Amino acid sequence: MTVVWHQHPAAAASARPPLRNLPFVFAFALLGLLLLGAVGYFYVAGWEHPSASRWYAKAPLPVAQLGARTAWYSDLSALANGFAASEGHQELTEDDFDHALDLVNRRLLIARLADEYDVEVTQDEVNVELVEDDALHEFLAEAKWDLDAYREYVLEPFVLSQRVEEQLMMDRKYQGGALEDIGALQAKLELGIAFEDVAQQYSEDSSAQAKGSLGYVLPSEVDAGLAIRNS
Amino acid sequence: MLGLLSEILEASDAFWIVRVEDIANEVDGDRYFLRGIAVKKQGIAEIVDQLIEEHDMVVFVRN
Repeated sequence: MTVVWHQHPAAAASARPPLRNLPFVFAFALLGLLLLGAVGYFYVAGWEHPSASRWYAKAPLPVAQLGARTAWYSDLSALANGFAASEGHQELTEDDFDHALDLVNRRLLIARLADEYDVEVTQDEVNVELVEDDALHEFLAEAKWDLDAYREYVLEPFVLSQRVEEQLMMDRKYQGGALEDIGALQAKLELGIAFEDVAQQYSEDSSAQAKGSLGYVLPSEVDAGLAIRNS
Repeated sequence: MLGLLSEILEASDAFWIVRVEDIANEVDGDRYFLRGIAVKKQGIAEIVDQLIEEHDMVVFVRN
């Protein structure tokens, strides 16, 4: 008996000849190789200054990652230009890139902290910080930045850092060291060491020079200054 | 109240212990002569320094 197998008509209609996918496969493979080659170049050759002026300064190559956040080579390159301009030299140096990479890493962390505290910065808050003068335009020309880049790389991170710092200052999770230190000073006072001596030796306020003297103040001034909240 | 030590007080940028040394009765209210000891809180730069040491940051480029 001869058995003849028939393909289901629906399956036959949806089945593509395998060769029709080949151009896509090649295109993706080529793209992958190009990206791999570009990233590989940075590993092998480093990212010294000639790189910054080339086309791949704008390519979406990652330079650092923290969790789901990624920093890109284009940002690193722009920041290196900014450092060179602020130092007043034309040629980019490895130091410029080192500083830029350090800054990129710090900003990744600050962005993560901003997420943690739900801190966001509006364009209005950023624009308040913008002071346009000749010195700024001279800097922008040297850094090859426009005003938007200045907002993105200088003003917005500055405002964000301030907002995040306000949160960090009130977060006991990050102030454990300072609390321990003041606790140790409290223990010294309880042991009977003179307040004036402890103030002069350990206080981190300018009043330490006057043995901690804050002068005569109204209770309202104390409340406003200390935002009194017993720990 | 004179000579009393406060608890640890919290300002926006520092922790304080203060002591009341004198009280002056003025027309607009009592004024307190205070001595204080402050320990500054950690700023964002110090905290980020610590976090950079603690976190595993993946850096794709190098010298």
